[in-house]
Formats: sequence, C-alpha cells, structure tokens
Amino acid sequence: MAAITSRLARARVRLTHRRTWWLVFLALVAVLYPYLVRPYQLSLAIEVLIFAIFAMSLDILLGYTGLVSFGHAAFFGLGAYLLAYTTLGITNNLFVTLPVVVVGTAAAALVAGFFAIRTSGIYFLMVTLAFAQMLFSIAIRWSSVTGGSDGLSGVTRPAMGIGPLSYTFDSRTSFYYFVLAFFLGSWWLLRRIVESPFGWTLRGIRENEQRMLALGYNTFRYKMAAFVIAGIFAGIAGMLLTQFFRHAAPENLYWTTSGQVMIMLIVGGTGTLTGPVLGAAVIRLLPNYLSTYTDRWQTVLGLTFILFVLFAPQGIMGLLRRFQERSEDREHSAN
Amino acid sequence: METFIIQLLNGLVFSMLLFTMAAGLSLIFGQMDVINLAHGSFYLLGGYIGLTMVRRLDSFWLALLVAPLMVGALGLVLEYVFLRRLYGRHRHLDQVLFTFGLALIAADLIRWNWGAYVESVPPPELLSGQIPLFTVQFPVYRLFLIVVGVTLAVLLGLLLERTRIGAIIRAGVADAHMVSALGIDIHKVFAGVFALGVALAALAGVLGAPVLNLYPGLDFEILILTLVVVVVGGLGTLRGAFFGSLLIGMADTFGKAFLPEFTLFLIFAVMAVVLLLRPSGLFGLEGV
Amino acid sequence: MPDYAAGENTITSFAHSFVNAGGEIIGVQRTPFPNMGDPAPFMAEIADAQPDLVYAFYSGGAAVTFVKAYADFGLAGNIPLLSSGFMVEEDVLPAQGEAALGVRSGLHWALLLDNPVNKAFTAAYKERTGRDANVFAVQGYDTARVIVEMLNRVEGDTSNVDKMVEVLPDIQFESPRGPFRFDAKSQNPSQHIYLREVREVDGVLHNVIIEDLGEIADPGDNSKDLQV
Repeated sequence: MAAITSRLARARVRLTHRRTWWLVFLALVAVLYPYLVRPYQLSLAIEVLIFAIFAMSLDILLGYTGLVSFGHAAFFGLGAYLLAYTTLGITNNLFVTLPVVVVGTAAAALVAGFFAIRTSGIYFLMVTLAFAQMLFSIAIRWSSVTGGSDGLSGVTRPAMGIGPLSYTFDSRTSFYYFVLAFFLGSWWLLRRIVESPFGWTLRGIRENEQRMLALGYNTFRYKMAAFVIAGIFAGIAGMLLTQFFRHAAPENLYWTTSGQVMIMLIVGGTGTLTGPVLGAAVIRLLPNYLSTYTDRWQTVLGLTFILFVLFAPQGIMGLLRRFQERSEDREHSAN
Repeated sequence: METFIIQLLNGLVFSMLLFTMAAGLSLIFGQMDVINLAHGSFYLLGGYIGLTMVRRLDSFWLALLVAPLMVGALGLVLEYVFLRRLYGRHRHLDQVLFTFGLALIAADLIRWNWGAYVESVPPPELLSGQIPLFTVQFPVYRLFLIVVGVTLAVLLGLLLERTRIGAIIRAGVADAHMVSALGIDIHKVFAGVFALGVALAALAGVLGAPVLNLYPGLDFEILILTLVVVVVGGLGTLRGAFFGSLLIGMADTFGKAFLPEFTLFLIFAVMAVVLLLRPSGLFGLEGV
Repeated sequence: MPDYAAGENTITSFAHSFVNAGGEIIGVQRTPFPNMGDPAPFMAEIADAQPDLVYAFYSGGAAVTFVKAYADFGLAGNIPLLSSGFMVEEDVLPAQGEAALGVRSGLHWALLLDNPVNKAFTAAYKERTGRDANVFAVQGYDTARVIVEMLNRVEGDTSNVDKMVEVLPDIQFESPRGPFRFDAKSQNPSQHIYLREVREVDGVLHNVIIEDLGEIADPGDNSKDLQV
C-alpha cells in the first residue's frame, strides 16, 4: 500500500516538474514571440489572445455555472463601443477607459442578468440572444452616438501613466505586450475565481441547482455574480479588440460573434479555462490556413465543430487529458 | 382605418408563414427536447430546392410537394446517423451545438450550390394576380398563404389530438420512457417527428420564396424570428406556436408600419416582457 | 430606405436637391437593415400616403424584396419609382424580372454605357465569369487601379501614409464609368452620373441610359450638414 502511494507521489512530482518546465518554455516563447515572427503572425497572436479572454469569460457562464448564453457578444460589443466612445471623446488613457469599460459592462450585465437569470435552459439562451440583438439594433440605429452601421473609427491605441510619464502602446510589438499582460492578468484572476469557494459553488449550481438551494445557497445571487464577471471580461476583450483595430463595429454585437466564441469554447473544452484559450487559437487560425487549400473552409470548420460535439464533447482539453491518462497508465505498468 | 385593415391582413400573412416554421421547431422540441438551430437552414434549403424545381419543371405545385419530401428524407438520415447518438439527459447542449454546426455547414454548401445572388421564385400562375382592396391591390398569393397556414394549423391539431400517432407523440412529450415501456419504438417516433418538423420548415421555405425571396443569410434571419415565436408562445405546444406566431407577426407588421426604426427592438421587447411575466412563454408548461 | 449610414447619406442628398428644385417630401420610411423581412407593411403605408413619386435606396436582397413587392401590390406603373442605381443593378435585375420595368435610377455606370474602356471591360468580365458585369465589379476594378496608380506614384513606398493621400488628386484615368478623378476638395470621386431606366432590350432587361447628367463630385458623408 505504502509502496503504491509513494510511487504515485513520485509520478506526481515528475508531472509537476514537467509542467513547470512547460510553463517556463511557454513564457519564453510568449515574451520573445514578436522577435521570432513576421508582423502578420504577430497580429494573429494578438487576436488570439483577445479572443482567448473572450472565450474564457464565456467559460465562467457555460462551463462553470451551466448557463448557456447565446448573446455574450452583447458585452464584448459594449466594451468595444464604450472604449471607442471614451477614447474619441475624452482620452485614450487606460486609467480612464478601463474603469469606464468595467463599470459599464458590469452595469449592463446586472440589468440583463436581472431578466435572464430568472429563466433557464433554452429560455436563458433566447433572452441573452435577444439582449445582444437589442444592443445591435441600438448600435445601428443611434448613429449620432454609435456611428450607425459604420461604427466608430479613428480610435487611438491606449496610453498609460500621467503627463510626461505617459506611454502610448502605439507599435504593434508594444501593443502585443499590452494584450499579453491583460491576457495573463485575466487568466490569473479567473483561475483564482474558479478555484475559490465561490467557484465551487458555481459548479454545484451547474450540477444540481435544487440541491444548492436546499443547502441554503441563494443561487440567484451566485448566478448573477457569475454573469457580471463574465460580462466584465468579455467587455475587456471587446475593448482590446477595438484598440487593436482602432475601430468599433456593430458586428462586435452581432449574434455571429456570440456563435463564434461559443464554438471556440466547445472545441477547446468547457469548464477548464485553458480549453477556451486553445479553442480561440484553433478557431482563429484554422480559417487562415484552410482558405489557402479550399474555398469551403466554413464547411470544414463546421465539420470540425460537429466532430468535436459528437466524439469529443470535452474538447481539445478532454483529448489531451485522455492522452495524458493513457501515457500515465503506461508508465505505471512499466514500473 | 382602411390601411389598418390592410396591415392586419399583412400581419396575418406573415404570422402564418412564421407558424409553418414554428410548428416544426416546436414539435421537435416538444418531442426530443432538441432546439434545432438548423431549422432556418432547412427553410432555406427547401426554398432553393423549390427554386430549382420551378426552373426545371416549371411547376410551383410540384415544388411545394417535392421540396418538403426531399428535406424530410434528409432529416430522417441526419436523425438516424447523428442526432440519435446525442440523446440522453446530459447531452442537451451537445444536441443544440450539433444543429448549430449543421447550420454553419448548410449555409456554406447552399451558397456553393446556388450562389450568393438573390433569387426569386414567381408565384404560380393561378395565384399571381391582385384583388383591389381599399387603397391597394392585394396580392392573391398572400391570401393563399393565410389559407395554407390556417389549414395547416387545423390539420396538425387534428393529427395530434385525434389520431393514434398523435396520441403517441403527445405521450412522448409527457414521458418518453413510459412510451418505450409500453412497447412503442420511441426512436421511430423521434425520427418521424424530426422528419416532419424539418419538412414543415422546407414547406415554409417554398411558400415564403415568392414573398421574401432567397438569399444567403435568410436562414439565420428566419431562425431567430422563429425562435422568438416559440419562446414567446411556449416551447413544445402547437397552441403556443400558433399564438406566438400571431403575436410576433403582428408586432413585426405594425412595428414596421408605425415605428419602422424600432421593429427589431420591438420584437425582442415583446419577448422580454412575455418572459418576465411568464418565464416559460404564454402556453409553455411550467418547469420545462 | 434601409436604416444605415449609406442609406441616410443617399436619401439626404436626394432630399436636399429635391426640395431645392421645388419638391415636397410627404414621408420618409427607414426600414430594418440589412434586410427588411416582410416588405408588405411598407407597401401598405406607401399606398396610404398616395405620393406622386417614390424615391428608394436599396441594394442586394432588400432591393429585390422591395422592387418585387412594389409590383406585387400594384404600385408599379401607378406611382413612379426612382432610385439610386444600386437598387436595379445587374446583380439583382435578373431576380427582379419584369417587376423592375420602368424604374429610373441615377448611377455612375451602366452595363450598356457606350465607351471603349467599358466595352472591353464588360466583354472581358463576361468571358471570365460567365455573368454580366455590375457596378460592384467596376468599383473593385477601379479601386485596384487607383491603388496601383498610387503605388506607382510613391514608388512602392507605403511607409508614409500622408504622402500617399497627397498624390490622390493627381490620379486620373479612363474608367469603364468614363473619366475618373478625385474631387480636390472632398477627396471623393468626381465622375459622370447617368440617368437610367429599366427597359427590355432584345428580350433582356437592362438599364438603358436616357441622359448623361454630366460630371458630379460625390458629396460624401453629408449626414452632419443636412437633415431630412
């Protein structure tokens, strides 16, 4: 018995070691990346990181709380417009724009959540979709503020600091680091959240809300909190994309954007936070490579998606886990 | 007043078109708990098959018959090969996602086969005229759509309420396990309902083509409207689909007439209000 | 008109000239963008208003929906329909069919425009794609041409954006649409505008040019200066 435990412990230590080395390697690649690739590939990386934040935020709802939102673009687009409006009207200083985006999306999530969280299942899906489409209508309609179908362009890259000590992330490379910082920050924060008692309560709600209610949890408040957190991080992703493209477009609010982030999440693997990152990378990069081989890349994308749903519902993360378990088994039997 | 009556008729026409879509979607949901996000794709596919039939065989009536049959058969195959693998309590999300993937593929393949240009289908010769009505010449074909919608509502109602198959379907909605325990092959019922549902979508596609035309993107436009209809009406009930269609069809028409800038907004506002008052829709069963 | 920026600009320009010429506007409808869904309610409203003339701006799917419904409800032939040329362009005309007969429109190009560049362009386009050219093809062609001319003038140096903008006014060439240049003030295209009417020519529907309205500079985004 003791022998087995110690062997398991040794295996675990070996695994942790391996993971640490992997992380060091990844960090190095991430830091040196701008110097290793061409500008176009750097742009792709920036987009992937931004969509990774967006997909992670949806994971809080869909993966951890079991709330299937089909209107998550509402907060993504809202973040985009809030940033554009503030930057064009007041300043590009992050100390102003970030609070505006965070407070604005949180407030919107509170309002939308008040309606949406009373419903569940397919009704929740529809109410969230409706909310996003309503914002889309407003963005198209209220052109004096939103620029109508053209959106808001001429947004400058963000700046940080005060007076002479301020720095603008103007170059692509500096903006890459800016986004990378946001990505790592979001990843760390969200990880802290899902591993906290609060995060475990969310999982409890996902598995069996009735039981959580019976245990005395006010599940409405927990779901609301998850909705607001997810909204804020989606807003931050929208903010970053707008700073990158220097443009806020109504498409950011459209349901296709909600659908795309949902696909990223499913392909990557829900309820893992790492999955959405992988999913964002695959879904954002795949069309770039596929389109050189075939015009029917959307079909290939759809097929990939369907195959994941049918055969790997846990996404890429599930596949990796299965692979890892198998190799661990082999190590064990070898010992 | 005269224009009001004309708008009422317009609203009725659009409602009946929506009902043809919503009935199929609602039937599938009620039976299998699957929200079919590819329902709009089956609409568009039906419409385009109809277009090809009209062009090749010059017969709208044949198109009206054959397109739903073909799409229904496709539905049978899809159910048998894919959807059947995804039944089970914890795979609801997977089913929804599967149909979403299907919609993405269908949109691409339809564009590939029929092109990205707008296509229109002329109404059949018999129905191509107009009837003078107050200030307008009201198209006969639109009146025909009202007749078809009401007939369909009655037929589906009879099928569900008065026939043995209907009884089995209704029992399946209430408790699928119980139905299988009684020795009825529930998978066959599921397959049949799915095929019937998508055939109705294809029928709507052919019926709607002379009015709304055919173009890429229409699949999702019509899907979203239909989803709003069934959510407002209450999922899984024929009555819900009917009255939901009326409410949304009228909201669309009168919204366009009086507040054209806010039509989309209005439709979703109606939905939000209904769900606030009745979280399961007007005729939905509580706790679904 | 569709409820979006280009629709707003076009309608504003039309309304401005129309009112200046002594016309009276009795109503404006903004329809959902990009597609209007069921067009019937708008037709009933038009019939109710009984105007002497309807001006509309649509393109693509919405253009087909609108023009066909206009004919379905018996408005075509009773109330003249005037539009921006995109509404009855070659890409949508086959789907509109006879419903489009008699629609008049203004545009900077027409398939049957009689000049050597256009003849060559439309013939080459048809040979390559099997379809008739349309205004979007012409615009794409001209845009590529402008980019090439611009690159030639800055000798391929794309690092200085201001310099690239600076050379724009120098660019002039014969386009399928006729002489093409940029207006010095607004930097929008300055070009001939043609009044066209949909007629049947040898059994096929075409936009026949009935008048060359001369060279007109595109007013561009005027939404801030004028209001309907």
